Amino acid sequence: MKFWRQLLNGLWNEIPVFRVVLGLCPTIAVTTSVENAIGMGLAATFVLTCSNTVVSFLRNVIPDRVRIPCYIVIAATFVTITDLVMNAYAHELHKALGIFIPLIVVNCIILGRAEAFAGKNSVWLSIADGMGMGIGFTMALIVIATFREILGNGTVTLWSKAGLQWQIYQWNPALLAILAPGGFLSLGILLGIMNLIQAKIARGKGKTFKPPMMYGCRFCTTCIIKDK
Amino acid sequence: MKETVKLIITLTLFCIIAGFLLAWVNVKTKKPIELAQKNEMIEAFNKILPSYDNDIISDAVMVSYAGKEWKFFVGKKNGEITGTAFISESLQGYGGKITVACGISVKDKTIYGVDILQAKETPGLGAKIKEKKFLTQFTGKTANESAWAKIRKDQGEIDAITGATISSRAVSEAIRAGLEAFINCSDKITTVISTNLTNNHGESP
Repeated sequence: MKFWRQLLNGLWNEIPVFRVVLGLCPTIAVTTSVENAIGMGLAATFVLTCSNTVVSFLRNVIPDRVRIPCYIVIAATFVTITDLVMNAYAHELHKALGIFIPLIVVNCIILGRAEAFAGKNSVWLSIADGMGMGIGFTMALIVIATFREILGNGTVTLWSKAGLQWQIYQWNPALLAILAPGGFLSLGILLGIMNLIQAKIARGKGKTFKPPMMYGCRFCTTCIIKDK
Repeated sequence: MKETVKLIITLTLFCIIAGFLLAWVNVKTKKPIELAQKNEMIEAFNKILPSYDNDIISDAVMVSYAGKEWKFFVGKKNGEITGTAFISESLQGYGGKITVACGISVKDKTIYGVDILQAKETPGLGAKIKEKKFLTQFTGKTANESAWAKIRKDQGEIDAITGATISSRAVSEAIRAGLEAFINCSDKITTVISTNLTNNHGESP
């Protein structure tokens, strides 16, 4: 029960990118096609689940003063494994994602979850948290990538090698959407829509909705967990 | 003091375990990675060379020209040379390195096909260098000289993609560099190929 609640937490309440505004660099860089978004999301999910598991398992062994280097070593190990395995078995995707796979190491979500959750909770719950956050991150990436790819290229690509690519419309696409500035614009628009939806839901339940800004401290999840 | 030692030992242990784990994964994935890269090259060669039936990756000739090592892959059909391909790169792309593969038909010394192996150009603009419309411009052009392999702005014969002059120029440049190596070393390439051929005949009576 607690496992599922923790997993769902990452899918809606604390969905990365939209609610916990973390991991924005890879978000803007890889969401130029849905295919890239799925690949990046799954790679991050794998790394997040593994690093959360190991960090939680070793949480009593890791001395407090060197915990950050330890977390980074753990994350970097899994990232390198992912990098090598992807290069071997998903070569095309690996080429498309390029530098952003190694950069998962410095993705704030990985370190953030290790520090805020896995370092303090049981292995079982940490796995749920890692999976939830990872799938949430993947979902967020897919939403942004769909938006950008349809606007900027007129297509939706699930897996180009298997021919899973659909042309939505033929006329000139708004190229801006898949360039870097379009990434910022799309992210802003989607964040706004997400806030609007959550505010509507909260109001429907008769609660007041606090937009992320009102939490202060840049919506760092550590404090929220403490407050609970 | 005691605590410091403990910190050092813990961190060292972490790194050692991580190191061993990575070494193991590296050993396990080394072959598949090489295979994937090889398959990628073969896939490109199938597109840009006349049909061949030999193991093209191992039938390659190394020549050095203009301070660079060039590898010419040789395609043979029924023991006869049909084409040769080179891989060339340009660092002048808009998004960094562009790697191209170019196949030359040996019979009439013309370009048989060109393919982009690796490019990180802007989607929608520079990325159009991967489209057939741009790449087929090279097909059928002579491999006896290289001056044509420039975009029209630089007095060449290649139509640049609208809005992607830099990417188009980089591709032409990579192909021109390879062609120059081919022209200047074609004697050497053909002699090596023919000696290789006699060797092969000797080995398989």
